[in-house]
Amino acid sequence: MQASEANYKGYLITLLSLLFLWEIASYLLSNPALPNPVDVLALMISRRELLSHTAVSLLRVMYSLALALSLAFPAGIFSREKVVDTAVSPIIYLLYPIPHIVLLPLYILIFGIGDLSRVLLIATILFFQIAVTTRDAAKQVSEYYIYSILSLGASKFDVYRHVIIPAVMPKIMTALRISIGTAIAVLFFAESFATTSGLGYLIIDSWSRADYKMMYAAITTMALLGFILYVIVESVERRVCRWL
Amino acid sequence: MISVKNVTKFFDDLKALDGVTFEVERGESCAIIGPSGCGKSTLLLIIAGILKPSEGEVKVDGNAVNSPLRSAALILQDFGLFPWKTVYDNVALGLRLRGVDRETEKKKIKELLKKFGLIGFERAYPKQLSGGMKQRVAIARAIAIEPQILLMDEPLSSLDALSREEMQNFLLKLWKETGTTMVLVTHSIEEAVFLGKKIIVLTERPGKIKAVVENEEAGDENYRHEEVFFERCKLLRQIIRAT
Repeated sequence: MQASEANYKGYLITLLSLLFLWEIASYLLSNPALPNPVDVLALMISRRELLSHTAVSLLRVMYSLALALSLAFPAGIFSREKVVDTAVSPIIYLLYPIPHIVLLPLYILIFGIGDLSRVLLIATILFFQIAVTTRDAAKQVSEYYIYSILSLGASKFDVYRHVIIPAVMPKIMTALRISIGTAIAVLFFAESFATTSGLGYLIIDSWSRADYKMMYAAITTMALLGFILYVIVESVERRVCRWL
Repeated sequence: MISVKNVTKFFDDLKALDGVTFEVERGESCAIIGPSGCGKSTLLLIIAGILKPSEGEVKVDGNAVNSPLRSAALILQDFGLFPWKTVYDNVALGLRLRGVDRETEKKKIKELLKKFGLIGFERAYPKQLSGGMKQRVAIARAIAIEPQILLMDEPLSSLDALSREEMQNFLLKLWKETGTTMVLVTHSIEEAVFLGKKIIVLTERPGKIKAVVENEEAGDENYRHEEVFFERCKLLRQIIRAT
């Protein structure tokens, strides 16, 4: 417990230092393109529209994560089975290296300019990140664990339930944490085009209107969004992987 | 009775075992010894029904072994315990897989933990335990399903010399109490002579039977200090060294 307390202190000090540096930079530069952090934070609290854009963005990210995880998890896990592996591996192998972000125009053409195309774009990218990690982790599970549980009379289902899934959990959690960074980055891109909602839209819009305070408020909120999701995944990890 | 007949095992082109034939009577203890990489562990996994022999067959009480043996428990050297399960859950796993009801399970596991000196560690994870304790958990888990055959792959190799001797005594006591058939793979000559009434010596890869040493005197804690014990160890050492 002491260690985590020290961690919180560390986070707080870092956060305050960053804000302080920002303050000094904006003072020295005295340029409207770098507003004062106090003004930005005040704006963040006072403007209602920021909240609704944040809610839209948060939902998009959550849907994408849920969609990607629910497809990538089984695809990765069951790659241990030859049948699945021969079907899934070539797909992953061929499609993974392609920069999926270029699919946005295509998705918009097919799925329309609504939320769906954006959620699908983020989910596509996350799918590969999670599936590749899960697949590698599932394949690396030591045969000895499997022998051990088979000798206790386990069925195939038991092997997955008691060995494969718990064994890959830490790797999946790592993949999720990495995915959150990616998700937020892709979110910005997906929201910067042909939409009027979300933090990405707000950043681009206030940028073009030269409303720099709002732009910074949106950027800071986006960073906060990523941070909060990250903290949530970490606390889930502590619960799920208690044994680590 | 376990009867291993002409068992040969290939891993792709690599021949691991070559025509191994021997028998272990019900309730007997048998040690399998040989240089590392001679296929001892493979042989054990074949007896357990987890690996299939390329040629030959294994029969237990007259029935051919084609799938993991329900009457046998396997203890592996390092990877037996699941690090993501607590001591209690590890020990209870075999019972749960067999669909034993919770009440019976609780009673039985409590008894076992007591017997194995693990009370107070029910909720600990394997990495929090010492090597000797981990080994006791692994043995407790195997015993929980009341196996007729206990198959062990170098179960004590990761222990220091003192706890090793203690665990050998413990295994001996357990074997006498439960009357299980015991097959133990080891690379320690002393361990083989102390625990195996029958000792099977394998050659280097591909593993063939080099000799079968009868060791009827085994089965007593004091055997370790007797003249015959040292003589047997010497004999075994000569057999292993001989080319």
